[in-house]
Amino acid sequence: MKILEVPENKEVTVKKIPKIDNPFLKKIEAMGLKKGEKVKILSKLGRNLVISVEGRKMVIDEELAKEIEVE
Amino acid sequence: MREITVALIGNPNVGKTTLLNLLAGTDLKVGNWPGVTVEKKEATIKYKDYLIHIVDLPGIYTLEPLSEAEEVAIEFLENENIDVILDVIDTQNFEKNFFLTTQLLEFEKPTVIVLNIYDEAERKGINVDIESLEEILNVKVVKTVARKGIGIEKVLDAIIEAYEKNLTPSIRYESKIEEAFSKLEKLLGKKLTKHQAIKILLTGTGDKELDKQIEKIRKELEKFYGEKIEDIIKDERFGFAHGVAKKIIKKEKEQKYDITEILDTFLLHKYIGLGLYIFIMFLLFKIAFDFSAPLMDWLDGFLINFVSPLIVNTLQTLHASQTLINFFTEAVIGGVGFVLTFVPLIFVLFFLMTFLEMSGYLPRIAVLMDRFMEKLGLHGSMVIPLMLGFGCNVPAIMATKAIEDKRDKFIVIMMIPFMSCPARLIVFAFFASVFFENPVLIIMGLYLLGIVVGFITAFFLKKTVFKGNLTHFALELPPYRIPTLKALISVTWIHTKGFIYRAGTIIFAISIVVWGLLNLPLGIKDQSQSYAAKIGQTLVPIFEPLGINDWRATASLIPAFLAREIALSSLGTMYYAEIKEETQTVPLDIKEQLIDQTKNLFISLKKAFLSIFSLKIKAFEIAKDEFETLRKVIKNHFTPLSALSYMILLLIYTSCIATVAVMMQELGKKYALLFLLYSFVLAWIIAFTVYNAGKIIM
Repeated sequence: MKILEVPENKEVTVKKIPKIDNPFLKKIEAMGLKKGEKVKILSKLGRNLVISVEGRKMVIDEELAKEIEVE
Repeated sequence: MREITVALIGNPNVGKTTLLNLLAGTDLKVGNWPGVTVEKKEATIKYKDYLIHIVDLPGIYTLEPLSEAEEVAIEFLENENIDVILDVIDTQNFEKNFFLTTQLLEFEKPTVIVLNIYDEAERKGINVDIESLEEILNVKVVKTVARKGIGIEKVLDAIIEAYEKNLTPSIRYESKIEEAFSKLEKLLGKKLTKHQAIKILLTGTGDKELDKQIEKIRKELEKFYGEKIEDIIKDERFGFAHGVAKKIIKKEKEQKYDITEILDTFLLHKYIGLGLYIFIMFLLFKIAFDFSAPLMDWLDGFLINFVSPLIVNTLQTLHASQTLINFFTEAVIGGVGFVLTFVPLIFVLFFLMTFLEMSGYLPRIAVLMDRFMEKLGLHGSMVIPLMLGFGCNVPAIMATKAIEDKRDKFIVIMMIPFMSCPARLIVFAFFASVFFENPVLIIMGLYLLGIVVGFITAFFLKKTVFKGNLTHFALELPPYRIPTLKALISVTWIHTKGFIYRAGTIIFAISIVVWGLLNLPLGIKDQSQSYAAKIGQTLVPIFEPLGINDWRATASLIPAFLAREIALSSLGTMYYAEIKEETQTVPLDIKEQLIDQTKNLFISLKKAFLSIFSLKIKAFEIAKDEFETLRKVIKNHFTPLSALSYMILLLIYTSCIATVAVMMQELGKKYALLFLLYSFVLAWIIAFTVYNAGKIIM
């Protein structure tokens, strides 16, 4: 399942961040959204998702959210 | 005295700036990293027997070169002679912050880890075993709460200790990888730090023969792990951070409610959040304008009623020539003094902007506004520099460093100069109140015109030069924090100092030039024979179609290029000759005047503070009695339509050398000058259209 398809406020675990050459995906990973991390969608605003990864709150857009696989 | 060079580094939003401010106090210097717009702060502190030179690196999450910010940090860490690395961590978020720390430890330089925001971590039941951390990594660790100034003095001691003991951090990866490092060292015949070894493993050395061997080592690892080398290294770093965190972090209880969550329920809400944003912006500009207005009036009165007569009296007792007296009253007080009266506005505006930045609200604005920006094909984070543009275009352009995408950055830089700044407001306020019944409407219309022109420019760029998809959105939302007054004032002061410095240098120089042009060649009786008149007259044909046919108005556009507000002060200087007869020197009782001025200062301060409690923007209710004399004179030389035309010209045309200079640095000379030309042509066309349409209607 992609993170984009997860309903709000449901906690899931990141399964895979694709290894493609996208600096934004790399940044997200360095910020802490990486394999094995628990993550929750707090809200959706326009094209963006406000998500919470343990200890850190961040915003990613749908296009990036489509790339991130969770379970 | 020995010198220690310290690289200060950490994730964004960990309190790095607050810590640096506390360490450095007033010694803080702000500049730019060469070639990029990333801000560079540095300070030299005398402490014990040492001169500690601290260089602040940009806030980043990783040392992979994702944008200019990381590139600057890598470049500095690799090539400068750094003695100590000072790494600031948000304790609540230890493991996530430690990913960067791991990459820093790879440099194997004496390292001090600052566990900041320790109080909030403890409240959340997070405890760090500092002794184990120091032992495992062979580094110095200090607990701090920078916001409250707790633990700061220990940071300097830790730097000295790490330096004196030459502590080399110990960091070990899995044995397969360590084996590869050893092979590399043997191959190159020298000892390598982890950082060097990884870099060579990833990118080679550039030597063909060696790189073949390195390729072999790399392939072996990739085969063993079944992953690409970049991912092996990344996983190792994450693993190391996780391992350290597991060993030294004790988590007791989970805190249930969180102030950030509560605030975001409203501030990030689809509709409520938008309303609150508009309200916050309204408050920001209201406070900025109203709080500073009484103080600006006071400064103005102080200069005209006290400083100016004082100089005249002193010079007269010294039997100075009339030319010298004129120089001081007209060029110094009339030019530089006039601009300096805007210091309160600049200070308050920067203070409030810094407050929003340090409180953590700014990224929320980007998220909120992205919905609308996206429809125009633009990115939400562009809103922040655009907003800053209303304060001053120069820091706004510098703030575009936060925008990762080069294309977006280019577009937003081309939009910023159309956001009207207080310098323009000064000119607008004056002309609008002289020539129009409802000056507020005119001023707001001009602001709106600027915004529209900015967006049209962006739209045009997006449709032609920068076709392509919308840039991604990936941003951290830091927890809300109340910044300390000390840090706020310190950052604000740095910006204000820059403005005062400009007044004392560029603006002073221009005032002298303008005054000189007006009074030269020697022996002229009347300003219409001066050089200024000649230049102004030469320019008149260009501006005549816009209704501006007074040589003083066209001449004022030349000095206005150094800063728009000078347009008014140089008009003032030029018209001063005409109104001079009306002013006369009164005998001055210094003591009495000083008492009066002090009293007035207190009254203005009281007014300033009281203004906060009213919701109306008082600064827009422009008092009719100001600049009475200049008002009368200006009315003889402009019509309402030509005044409007003059204001549009100053709004759209990038008449500000500081802005053009920072654009050159950002976009290169060619694009900056092209933009300057574009803005002038556009300004001319719009002013021409408005003036002639107005003539037909009226």
